[in-house]
Amino acid sequence: MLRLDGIRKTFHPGEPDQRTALTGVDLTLAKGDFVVMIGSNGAGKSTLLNVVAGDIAPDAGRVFIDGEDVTALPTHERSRFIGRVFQDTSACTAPGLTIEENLALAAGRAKRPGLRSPLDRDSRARYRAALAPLGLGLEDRLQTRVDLLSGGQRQAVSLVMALSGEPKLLVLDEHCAALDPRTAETVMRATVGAIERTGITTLMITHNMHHAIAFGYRLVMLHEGRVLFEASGEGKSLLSVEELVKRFGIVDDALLLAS
Amino acid sequence: MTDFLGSFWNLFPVTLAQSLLYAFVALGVMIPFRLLNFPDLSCEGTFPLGGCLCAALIAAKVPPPAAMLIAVAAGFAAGCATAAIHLRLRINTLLAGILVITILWSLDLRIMGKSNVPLFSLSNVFDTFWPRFTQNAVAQITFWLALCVGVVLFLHWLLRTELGLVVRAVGANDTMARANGVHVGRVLLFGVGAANAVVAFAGASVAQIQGYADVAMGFGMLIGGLAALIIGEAIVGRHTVLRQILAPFVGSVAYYQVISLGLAVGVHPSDLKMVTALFVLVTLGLPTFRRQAKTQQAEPRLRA
Repeated sequence: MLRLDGIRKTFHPGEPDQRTALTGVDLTLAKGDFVVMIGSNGAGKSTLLNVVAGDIAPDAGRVFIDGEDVTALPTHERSRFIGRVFQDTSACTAPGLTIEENLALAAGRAKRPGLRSPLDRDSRARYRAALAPLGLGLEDRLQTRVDLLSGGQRQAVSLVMALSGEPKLLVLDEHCAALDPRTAETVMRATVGAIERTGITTLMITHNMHHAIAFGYRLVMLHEGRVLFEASGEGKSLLSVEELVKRFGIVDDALLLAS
Repeated sequence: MTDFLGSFWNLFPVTLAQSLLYAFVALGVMIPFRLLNFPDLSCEGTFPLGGCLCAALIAAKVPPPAAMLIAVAAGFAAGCATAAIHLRLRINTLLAGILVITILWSLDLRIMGKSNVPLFSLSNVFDTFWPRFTQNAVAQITFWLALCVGVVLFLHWLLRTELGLVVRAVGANDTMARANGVHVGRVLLFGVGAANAVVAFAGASVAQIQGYADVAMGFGMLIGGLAALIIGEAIVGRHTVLRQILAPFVGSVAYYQVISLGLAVGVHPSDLKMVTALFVLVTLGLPTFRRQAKTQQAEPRLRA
């Protein structure tokens, strides 16, 4: 489904602030796989997701989605295959547009925009049905501007937007990290529910060790720009937070705080 | 006392007609500044480009409607140039605009071969369908008002279509737009182009109505348009699509009446640009100033 082949990336090469982010990442996600990625700050997690989504072009290596080489495809064209939610709660929605307008925009991302009205009774019913399982009451607030929502509500809308149009891959970049613990649980539950319901292939970054152990079918640890450790199935279910932290000795403040 | 009111009142219809026409400049400022979040100065150059090109073509015996169309197309191209400079070369939008303005100044002089072209004795696009249009304030008000209403209705429809949604998303959050399949560069290119086509249309209309084009006719156009837009937003607000579209039109009407009143009271015409610029400065600076005043007030309490 998703295959990363020897991805390398160095920022500002040859300059004083040169920084190597990825030093040859190989990673394959089968169809329906749910991979959780952890790693300390600067391990290259976000850079890797940006390479997957098309925001950053790798120095070397290829990105394949369903066997198709998409390495040269710009972000907006790759968005046909990829739904994303970022950490920043205002990054995935357009302020000033209503919930239904944001959802309509996401629903139309695979086709050319025309001069039709994007909203009708059918589409509104679809949006209501998609929002209702979140349990946040957003289905009754379709005409509310998204900038008037709370961060958690916006992330929930972002999640529905990312999943609309049946993308092949869902990419989550610490999408619960900026939320208070209770809201984070709600959004995470909604996320996992949606992933299990749709069976979508998912790549999720988290700083929360509990989430990393509790969710996902596979765990990948990134360190200094490459994959350091992988666990799946039984091996993953037997991991504990202390063990993860101790075993690899890769600890940073955010990781400890989250534990 | 009644003296200046009388002269203001006498000028009211002419000013109204003028303000409805200049509303298109304010619209050409609103589109990039508000809808696209692309601060664009090019209207300072595309306004005279529209006027000078249209005048030169009419003087060269090109039929006025064709001259106007070419002028509008040139404005579109110039707007696209500004957007392209920013998108391709990653030059700041304001600097890209200034580069285009500077190029257009020389281009206007090249096109006209001199610094101004008189049109008094030549036919224009308005006279062909409404005889003596340029001397008839009522005709002008009727025509421009109808056009303004038409454009407002058109934009209100357009911005709520799929395409309009895409345009608004680009202005609101370009990262999000890109992640939702929007070719942001293309939207900006066409959007800034279209805004400047509107401004060039205003320039071409002004040249024909006042009976001449001058290479310096664009000076102060941006600040004037911005002032009108800000006034309009203060009057009708900008929190819905319709209000945002109405703002440049309402603002332009109010702005030019205020200017007219100022002139009637005795403000020197040469001071007008300074007064307008100071108005924009104060309006834009006021929120920051208030914030600073508030924190300074809070400080003694913190110390105590």
